[in-house]
Amino acid sequence: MFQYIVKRLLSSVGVILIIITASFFVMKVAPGGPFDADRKLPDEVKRNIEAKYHLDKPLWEQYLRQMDSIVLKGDFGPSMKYPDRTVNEILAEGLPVSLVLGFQAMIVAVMLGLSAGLIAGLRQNRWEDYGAMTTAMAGVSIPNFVLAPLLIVLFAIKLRWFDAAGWNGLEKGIWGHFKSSLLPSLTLGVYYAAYIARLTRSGMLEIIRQDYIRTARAKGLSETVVVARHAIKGAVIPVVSFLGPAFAGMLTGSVVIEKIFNIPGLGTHFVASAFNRDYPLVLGTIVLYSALLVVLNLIVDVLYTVLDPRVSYD
Amino acid sequence: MKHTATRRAVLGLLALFFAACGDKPSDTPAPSSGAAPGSKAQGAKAPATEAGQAREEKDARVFHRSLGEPEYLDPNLISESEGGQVCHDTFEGLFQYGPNHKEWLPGVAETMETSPDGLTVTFKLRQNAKWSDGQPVTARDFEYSWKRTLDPKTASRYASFLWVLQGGKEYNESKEGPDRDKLRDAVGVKATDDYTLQVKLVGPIPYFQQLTAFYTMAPVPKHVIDKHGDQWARPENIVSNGPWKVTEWKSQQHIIAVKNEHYWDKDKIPFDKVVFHITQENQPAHNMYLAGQLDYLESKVPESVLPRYLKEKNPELKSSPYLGVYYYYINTAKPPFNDAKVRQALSLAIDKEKIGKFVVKGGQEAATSIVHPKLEELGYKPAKGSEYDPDQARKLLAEAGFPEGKGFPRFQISYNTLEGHKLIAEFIQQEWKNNLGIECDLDNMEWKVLLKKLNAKEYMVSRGAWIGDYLDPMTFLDLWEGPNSNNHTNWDHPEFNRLIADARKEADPNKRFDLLRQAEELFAKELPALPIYFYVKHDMVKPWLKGYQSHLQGIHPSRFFTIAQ
Repeated sequence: MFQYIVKRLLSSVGVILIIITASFFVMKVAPGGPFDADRKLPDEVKRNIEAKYHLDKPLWEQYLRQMDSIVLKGDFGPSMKYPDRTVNEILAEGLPVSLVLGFQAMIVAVMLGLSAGLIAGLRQNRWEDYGAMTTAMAGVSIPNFVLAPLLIVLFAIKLRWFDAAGWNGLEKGIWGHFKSSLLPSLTLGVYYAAYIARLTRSGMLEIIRQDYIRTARAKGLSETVVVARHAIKGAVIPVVSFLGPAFAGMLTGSVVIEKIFNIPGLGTHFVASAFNRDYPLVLGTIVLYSALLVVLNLIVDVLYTVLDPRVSYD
Repeated sequence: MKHTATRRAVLGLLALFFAACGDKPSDTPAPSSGAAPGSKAQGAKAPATEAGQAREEKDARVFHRSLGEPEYLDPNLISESEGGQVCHDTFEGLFQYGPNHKEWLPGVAETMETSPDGLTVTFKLRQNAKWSDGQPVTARDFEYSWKRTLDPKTASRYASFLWVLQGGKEYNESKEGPDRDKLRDAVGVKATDDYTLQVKLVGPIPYFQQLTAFYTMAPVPKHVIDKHGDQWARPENIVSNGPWKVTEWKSQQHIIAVKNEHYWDKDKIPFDKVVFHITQENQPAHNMYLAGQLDYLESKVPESVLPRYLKEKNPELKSSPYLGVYYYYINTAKPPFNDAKVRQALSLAIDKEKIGKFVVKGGQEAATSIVHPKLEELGYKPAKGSEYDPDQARKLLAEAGFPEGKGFPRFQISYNTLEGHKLIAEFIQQEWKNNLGIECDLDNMEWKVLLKKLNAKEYMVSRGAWIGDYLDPMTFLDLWEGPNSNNHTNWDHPEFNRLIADARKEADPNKRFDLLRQAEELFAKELPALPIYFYVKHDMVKPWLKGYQSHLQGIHPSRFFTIAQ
């Protein structure tokens, strides 16, 4: 197991290096540079700025410098769009916000999804099943850029319960935080909740017909115990395998939500930095996202072995 | 993932289902103008703001306004309006912007004296002006700031503003070496004592007083820059001399500026705190405004709701002319566009009135020439180019050798990807096809790509725009001088260049305007660019926010507002 994890981590490092290299050259191919603006800079001034960021050096030297500072020092350098700030700083500001948003969305997704899925699975072909599954279907189908404005109009503008946009950390208290983060978490989580509900339901339907459940019932255990102790564990395996990609999806997919709710996470930088040709920031967000994806996938694979004794990597 | 196929099927079915249900009954006109089809938040059918809605903030001494993310807050380096907005509240130049574009208020300077030839300007500074750390603001801070802006190492985008100073251009463009220090000393700005600033100009600049209010020319604190280097403008280090000082900047969230207790006129500061809420997109800012989180929504009114607000005459919407012009660059080096008759024909064939009314729908005024018509308030008479006249257009095109558009080569209209630009380009494409019988294709690209094409002059016709920097026709005219780096048209007209050069030397204001008008008439005849419309700025102001006045440059410092609760 340990060996397996080490092996995976090592290969991940390789993957990330390839990603950095590919992104570096792809972004250099894109026309235009960070210091092109509608007011053209005098040539001498432009030369000065480019020298400051080593953009006047040959491409291979820029690449080596960048690799050197990223790999050896973990430093992405100063942002070219926001020269007062370093990329590391910008990422350090944005990442926690995206993580908190993703985590809250995850809680929403798991809570709603699991309960709806379990109810539907246990009450197959009854009204509870149809109700839960129709709702889930709606959750999957309504795009978040439709749901979000509806929630904003109802809960922020009409009822004034929550903020229409913006993000408060805990400095404004727990309520202040939830006031700004509940609607985005909900919007982001609902799609995954619906998905989890469907997975849980089918998992439940499969498990509940297994011999060992019949055995448990035959032993005279109450239905609650049968479900809680024996069925759920098996039923959620497909859900767990979905959680890793889901969490990654919530982190990377929050770009749209971050825009609608104006949340200062990573997503906004991910898109804007490319348009601004802010090379260091582009690399920074790409590396960070790929590292997150790699790690999340690894965690899921490890979790498999814990939940399903049939899976083993040794 | 194995579920993808099922999911697609499910999605497809539901899409059909929803499509069948049709749109929810809507009381709004179709938001056809602005927001892009994929625009994320377009679904928000914001209700018209209702009376009796509450302000989220209870404290009338705290002002909440909207902002886009600034790049930085160093006045010498700022080159976009976002940083400028913060700077106008936190720094103060020799003069400062008034509540409207007709008024200028003294800032750090108490008096300004211009020599009869217009070349020497002497400012007497007030002795009670202080930095937010209590240090006095002196003439030396201005000398330092202006030279710092011009220093090639500072690499300020707006350094060319200071080319009006003698020796400014030479120093700004100087190469590394011993000469640079000499050039620095030769720049025409000098603190003759702590409270006297003497400025030598390259010519009579009638708008020089205005320029001193512009952020690039604000003073910067040498003692703080010496200590913190290029990190000095970060909120934890910054020291400023305006009514407020920045204490917190959370990227993509807000900038907080609190009252500067050392400000010389601090009793008149209306707010203890100004909160700039940063949003990238218009829609979230507008939603925050509707939800009472903002008192003032500056220019971020989404295009999807604008036509309705205009139609309803929403009292909170303030629309005012804005010192900018939207035009199409023509690459005059590429035949057949090298023929002025062709360019005239292209301009005459566009019914520009329709663009403001039916295409962009913001009430924009059609442009036949390049200088903003509102500048007639200065006594300048903007030139009138020819208006929509398809018959004349066809005639000119025939004279140029393309009767009924026959033989006219197919070309491209380039524009940066944005729904508004696309709609205009489509409209113009149709007009040219219907009125002139010529065909063109639309070629949209990312902004940076378009800039590169413009700079390399690798285009035929391209969308462009210019926002005036100061209230004088020159800001729209010197752009078209042959060597100007922002003139992307290859148009280099000796007569035009001469008129502009003469105007720069002319001390008599009437004669100067006359020269500028001649230059503008030449532009309107030659049309290296086709003016399309003049900008309009749309703001939204809550009923409890008092003091808003229309400003041609769209500058609304917080100091002119108050909140009545």
